[in-house]
Amino acid sequence: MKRASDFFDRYAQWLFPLPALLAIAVLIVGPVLANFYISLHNWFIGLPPTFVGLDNFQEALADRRFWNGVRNTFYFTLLAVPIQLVLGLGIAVLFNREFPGKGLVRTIILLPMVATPVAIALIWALMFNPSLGVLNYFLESLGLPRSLWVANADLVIPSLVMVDVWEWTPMIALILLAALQGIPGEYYEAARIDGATGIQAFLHITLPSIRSAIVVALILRTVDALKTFDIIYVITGGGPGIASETLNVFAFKTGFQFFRAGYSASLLIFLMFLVLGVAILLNLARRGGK
Amino acid sequence: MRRTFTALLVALMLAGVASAQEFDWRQFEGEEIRFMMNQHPFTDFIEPLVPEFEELTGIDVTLESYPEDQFRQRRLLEVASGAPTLDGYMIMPGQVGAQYLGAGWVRHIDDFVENDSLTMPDLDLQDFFAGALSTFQSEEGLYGLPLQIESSLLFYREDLFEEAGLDGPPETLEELAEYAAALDSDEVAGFAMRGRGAAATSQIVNLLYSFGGEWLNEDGSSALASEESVAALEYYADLLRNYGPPGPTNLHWNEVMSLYAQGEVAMVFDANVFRSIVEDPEQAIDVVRENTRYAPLPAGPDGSVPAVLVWGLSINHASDSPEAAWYFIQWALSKENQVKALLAGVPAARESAWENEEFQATAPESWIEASRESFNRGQPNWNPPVVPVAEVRDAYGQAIVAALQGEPVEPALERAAEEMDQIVARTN
Repeated sequence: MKRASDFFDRYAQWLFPLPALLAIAVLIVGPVLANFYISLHNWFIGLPPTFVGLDNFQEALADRRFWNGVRNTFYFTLLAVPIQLVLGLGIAVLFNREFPGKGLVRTIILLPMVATPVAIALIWALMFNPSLGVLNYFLESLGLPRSLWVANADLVIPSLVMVDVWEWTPMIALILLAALQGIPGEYYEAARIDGATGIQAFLHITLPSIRSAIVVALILRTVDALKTFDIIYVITGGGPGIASETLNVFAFKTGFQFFRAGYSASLLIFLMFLVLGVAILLNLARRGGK
Repeated sequence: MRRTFTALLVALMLAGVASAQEFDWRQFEGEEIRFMMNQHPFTDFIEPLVPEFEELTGIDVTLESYPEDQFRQRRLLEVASGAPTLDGYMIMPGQVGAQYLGAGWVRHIDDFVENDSLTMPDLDLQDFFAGALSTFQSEEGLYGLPLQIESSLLFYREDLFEEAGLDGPPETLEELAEYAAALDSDEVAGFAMRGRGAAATSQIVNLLYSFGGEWLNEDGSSALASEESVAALEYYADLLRNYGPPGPTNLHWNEVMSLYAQGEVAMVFDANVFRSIVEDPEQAIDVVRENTRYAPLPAGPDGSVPAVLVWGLSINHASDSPEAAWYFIQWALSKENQVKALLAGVPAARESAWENEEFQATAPESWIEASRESFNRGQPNWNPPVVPVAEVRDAYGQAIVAALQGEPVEPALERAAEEMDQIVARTN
């Protein structure tokens, strides 16, 4: 009996995280390794796989559709995340003050984030419809010309970004709001006594105080945006043509519609390193700034 | 004395049956069979009737059904594994025929059909629509029977035709373009059909065939860059760009049908089953519901050659009870059950079912007529007859989108043909 408790005491730091480690091994490490293994094969699902070494990776680098996917992935992310950050900050600052009905407004603004993404995407798809959609109805009632929205190759990514911004800005607002509420009121009092304007206080007190929260929000959103799948797949399926096909959507189609498991696996390895690389860069930027 | 007489009589009768090789429903009594089904109106229809079959034959039947995506994955896994416990499955030859035939995963049934002791006397293969039965015909023979057939039709608004002074449906594709021009206005688009890349190929294939085009050349290479194929895509792109609704690259079937149901377009070409949308007061406005008529695909330079979409039942190559499975297929697709299926809303593959009066009272005459005409003329390959169907459709879809965006058709199709050859080569 005593021995057993000794054992637990001595190895507590290993035993407690063990279930979590096992879960990670089974649910994350296993599939990633399997994915690496599959990526070395030419495998049309239903036919026997053949080992081809790194051919799939080579093929990807020569595939115009792969590069189209990379470009669209970055275009989408670089457009969506900055807008979300600016709007999210604005909303957070607004909610950091007192005003009547604040609780209600806050709940409403958080709703897009908690709704089911596929359901959201289906509704937006209806709203984007050039002939029957409500968005063109609004444009027309404002006296503006109709738009083709997602049916136009040049407008499709900005339109999808609009959905992403609508859906995920609340998350940034939430993170930043928590950070804002942690800033001691004395700072602002002192600034006011020294005669600082509101803008000066914002630039020199607010922003520096929530800097690390901003970076955290930025990393979370960027990683997520690079992997965006649901809204793009449901609204456009990567179309028109391949105008909104991101790397993730391309890999999905390759694997689950075209049944090319090996090639799809290699595309996802590219995506993984791409996401990892961006996350590391952002993290370095955070540390470097400190 | 009396008992021996009876026994003698029974023995004589049995001997008679055996020597004449007559069909006997109870021949495979006690066998167990398992069929894998798509979650589909046909499955919903046949499942409650299965006990009738079990009583008739003494064969124990298990029907397993899954939603379509899962169904296809599971069927693939089980069939490829060669497990003898799966005896049959639902199959859409236009989707996976090339793959399943190529891999030898279906059991051909000609030996059963020719054997009078295994095939019921009133099977009547001629009764199946020509376009439906031909989808189950391979070089080595018949490999299943059709359970339902669909085709695309022209849906048009008779009231708008009258206003524009047009008489009857267009009979040629040339006329279709003229009609679309005459009907097109600021409020109502003249014509619509699918334009969303790969999703559009199942409809454009009707134009491809009617212009004399094909998926493959004789030597198995892609025929998408042929003169006929270029002409078909040019015709299609002009039609939609000039008289279609805004943003045709966005049109999948639900966009096409909702535009039509809302009175935004005068004619559409899509699957005949979408009659259900047009007739539904929840989905279609009154003027559309009251004035819709149907016509078969107008004829192109090579005639009117619609593609038909067929679901059917096949026997698994590895089945250890293929005869019992064949019994089930014959029973499920008998004349009697096909009528019942049609009345339950499944577009049955037997011509005799469509002659049922009770059914004829349920559907508009022009729809029944146009559908039957298409079913008999139908060409089975609504998809490319290759293994990697989805990827080839996607490659063709890229050319369709390019054409709709106003790019030159010929180079777009040349690229599609080149990609198609590469894609097909990868699975050979």
